[in-house]
Amino acid sequence: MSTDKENVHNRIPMLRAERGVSRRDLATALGVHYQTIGYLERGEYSPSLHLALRIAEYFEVPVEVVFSLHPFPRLGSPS
Amino acid sequence: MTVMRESTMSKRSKRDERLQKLMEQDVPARYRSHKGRLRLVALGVGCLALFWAASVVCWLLAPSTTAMVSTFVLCGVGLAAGAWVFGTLILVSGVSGRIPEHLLDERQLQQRYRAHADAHRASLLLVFVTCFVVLILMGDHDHVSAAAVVVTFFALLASIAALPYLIATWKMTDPPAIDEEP
Repeated sequence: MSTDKENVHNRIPMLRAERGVSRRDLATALGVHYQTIGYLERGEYSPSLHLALRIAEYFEVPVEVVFSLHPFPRLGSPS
Repeated sequence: MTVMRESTMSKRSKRDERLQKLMEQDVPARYRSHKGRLRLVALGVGCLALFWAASVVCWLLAPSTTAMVSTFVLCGVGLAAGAWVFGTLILVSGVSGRIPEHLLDERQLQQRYRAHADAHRASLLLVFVTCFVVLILMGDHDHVSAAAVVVTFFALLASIAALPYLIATWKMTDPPAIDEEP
């Protein structure tokens, strides 16, 4: 589990919802436990570089689209 | 030789599949909340307390029939309740050392290492305190009952074995459900 200081923000729930992928499906595709996906989505666990790259590869987007050190802007916000 | 190796491999993969299925099980609903898990940890500590109580009884009353009967009763209740409690603790915490590393993902491995590191520190403290108390008790008694030493050793062993699961369950955050939407 990561502390607030080393928190990595992610868009996994959004990407998952957009592509209609369940937590279980994503976990199976990545070869991790479904709870790991849940903890990642909640921001309670920061993935290794390897897992982060595999998640980005699964969604076919660059890694910075999925993960960021700063909170992602809300949809419809100016920035 | 090849047939033997294949049979060992198929046995291993069957075992892996069984363990994988066990790990994929959702945490029982009553232990999804921190309060529920604390209750389970308290039950576990209670079971261990029974072994330590048996040890105290042995130090104070052994050798006597009272000591023998109370030790058997306390250890029997502790073992019976402990089997269920620690089975549940292993399932809830998911840090069982029996699960091979290749079946765990990076978060589960990290969780296991952390639980065992914390338990190792707590075990050292427990061993130190137990040795200290036993040395004091041995100084006070002319004859030390073998039962007292054996039961104390058993209580210490059970505590050290249970600590990783107790600590992991106590410290874990609420597990996400399979279909929980954020």
